Amino acid sequence: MARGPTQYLVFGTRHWRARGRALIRALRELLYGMTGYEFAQHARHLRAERETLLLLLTFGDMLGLPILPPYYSLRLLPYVVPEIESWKRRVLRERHSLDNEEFDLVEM
Amino acid sequence: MTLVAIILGGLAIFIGYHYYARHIDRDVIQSDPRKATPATLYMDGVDFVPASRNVLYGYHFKSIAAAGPIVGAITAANIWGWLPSIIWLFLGVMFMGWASDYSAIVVSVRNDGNSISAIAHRLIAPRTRTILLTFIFFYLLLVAGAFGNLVADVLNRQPQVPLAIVALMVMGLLGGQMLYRWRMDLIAVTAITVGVTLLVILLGPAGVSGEGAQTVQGPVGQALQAFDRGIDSLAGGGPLYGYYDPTLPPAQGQQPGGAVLNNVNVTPSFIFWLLFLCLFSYLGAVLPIWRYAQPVNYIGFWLTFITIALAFLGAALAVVLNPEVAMFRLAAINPQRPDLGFGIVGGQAWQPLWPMMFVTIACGAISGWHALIGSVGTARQIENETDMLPVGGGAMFSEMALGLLSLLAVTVAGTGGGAAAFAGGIGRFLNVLGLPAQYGTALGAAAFVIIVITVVQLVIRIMRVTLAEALAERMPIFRNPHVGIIVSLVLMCLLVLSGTWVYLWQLFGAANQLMASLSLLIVTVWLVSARRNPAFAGLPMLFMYVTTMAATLVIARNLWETVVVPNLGRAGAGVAVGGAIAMVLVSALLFIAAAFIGWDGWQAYQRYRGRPAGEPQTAPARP
Repeated sequence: MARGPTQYLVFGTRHWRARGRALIRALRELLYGMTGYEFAQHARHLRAERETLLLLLTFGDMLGLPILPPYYSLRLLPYVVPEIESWKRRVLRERHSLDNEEFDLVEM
Repeated sequence: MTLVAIILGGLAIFIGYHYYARHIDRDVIQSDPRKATPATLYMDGVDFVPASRNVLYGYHFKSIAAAGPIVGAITAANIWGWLPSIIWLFLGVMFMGWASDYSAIVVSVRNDGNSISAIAHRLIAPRTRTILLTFIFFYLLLVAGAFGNLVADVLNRQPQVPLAIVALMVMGLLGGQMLYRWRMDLIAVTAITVGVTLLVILLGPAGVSGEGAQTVQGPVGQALQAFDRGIDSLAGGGPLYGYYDPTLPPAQGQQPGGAVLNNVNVTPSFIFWLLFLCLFSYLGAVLPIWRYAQPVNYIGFWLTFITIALAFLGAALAVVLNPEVAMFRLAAINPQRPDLGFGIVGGQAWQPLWPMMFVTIACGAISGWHALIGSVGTARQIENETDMLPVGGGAMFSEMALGLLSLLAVTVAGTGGGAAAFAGGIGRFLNVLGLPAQYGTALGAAAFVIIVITVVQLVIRIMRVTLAEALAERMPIFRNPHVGIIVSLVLMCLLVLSGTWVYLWQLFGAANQLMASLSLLIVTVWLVSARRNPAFAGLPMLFMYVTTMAATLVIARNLWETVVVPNLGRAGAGVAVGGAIAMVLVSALLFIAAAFIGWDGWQAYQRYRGRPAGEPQTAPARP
């Protein structure tokens, strides 16, 4: 079916509205990247440190630490299974000497 | 002229990004949206986390843009004039700066998210990583010295600023508590901490009257002036010691050909503000990052962002609303250096345009520090290979805009140099928007000190870790963080008290640009190993390598001939001579370290060039 001029107008308005929404979303993301993102990132690091401590105490044998698997580790196992792969990758990864430092905060 | 400069800057960004950078990304690097990036391949929820390109652009831009582009641009404009500075800003970022930042991210993304130094260890030679670590330590020491000097000087000379820094410290501590302990909303925390700090900054100039030498301070300024006088009276109102700084105007009464007189006096109040900076940095280095350093940094970001954004708006509108403000008052070419500094006079500072301007304007045009941040942090969060250019290259082009604004601010301010001229220029731009000049200038000065002081505290923090990494095995005492911090602060104070700030800044710039050329060297070797055209990284690498090596030699010559020789044996100038000799040694060390890496890089280049075709670094397909 052929489109009339009004339909083109409507199409055009929608098109610009969609572009406007995308622009606002991009600006919001940009502002988040400049402000809140570093806090989210640091919170992730803090959580990972505690998680590593817990997993080392309970499942350290998975990394070769001589920890006898206690009964409670088996109770925890179902909850830990989804995290194990990424945890092992995180802990066993080769690191740069200054990897844990906040280079990104030294704004140069 | 201001509008013309802004339009030319926009054109440089458009041409550089849309024509050159996109061509390299498409045809040389061949970024492929179907390839898996380390963030998606090794997602661990902490370091390797895919993030949207907009978020990452904001994050990367904030991580690289602050004091460096501002200080470098205003220093160079005062030494050589605004014209060569603006040309280098434009050409540097178009052909080198973006390439350095972008390629560091590319090489990391294509190498499992490894950092530049880890890749150098594998591709070039094991010792390259050790040398890079040494580089980083001295780089940080030079940053701390150069910025420490700036902060102590502004706090000592501008009595409206210190109260703002105290407010920043208190709000930083409160901000960390509110965010992480009381779990308050980030918007509310931002409104409270940034709002209060801004109010305190604007309280400083309240009641100020008169201009220039006739300025009468308001209640805050008068209280701080009385405080400074009280401290100075401890030494009878005179200086503690003096020395001759060849980069400053000669002392009154200096006769041509006569004995050299001291033109710098170190006062007790200067020492006090230096110790205040040490306390600020000590807190930043010893407290958990969330408790102090991060919120302080965050508040500083907002204050700088508000000031810079409004100043940019004022600069653009000045053409229509107040053309007199948009007039350039600084000469295009410094009339005191019509030969662009190439003429050499025995016993005087030698500042030839090449190589010195290329290390004085560091971060706004090209910076090695960005490569480190890009490869350690940003590259591990790239979700799609096509995001590498807008994030790495785009952020660098944006940083050039910050350098351009600083250059414009100091060019319209016209008189003097350094922080005061920058603040004066910002004040003029803000005045276009209706803010009284004294408030605008105070905001400019406070924003300047805040971005510099937040860098110093984090630099000391990282120096402490670097010292522990390097020395703890042989000297276990360095495992104690307090020892590392105190050693770092003492070294910083030695550089600050030795004076000759311009040399210190240029040495920092040389270290920074050498890191950029070394990062480009690693990228070049990687490109050769992957059978790609290395010219876009190799040519800037050669230029910056030769330039910065030459600059370290010129700085060493200047230090020796104009600081060590005239001050040697002069009463009270021991710190100046000791600091200058230390800087000469650092120059020599940087030169030798860069020569080693250059030689290893050349060997690696030859090795990979002779190898059969193959691309061992290609990432697997997206799962």
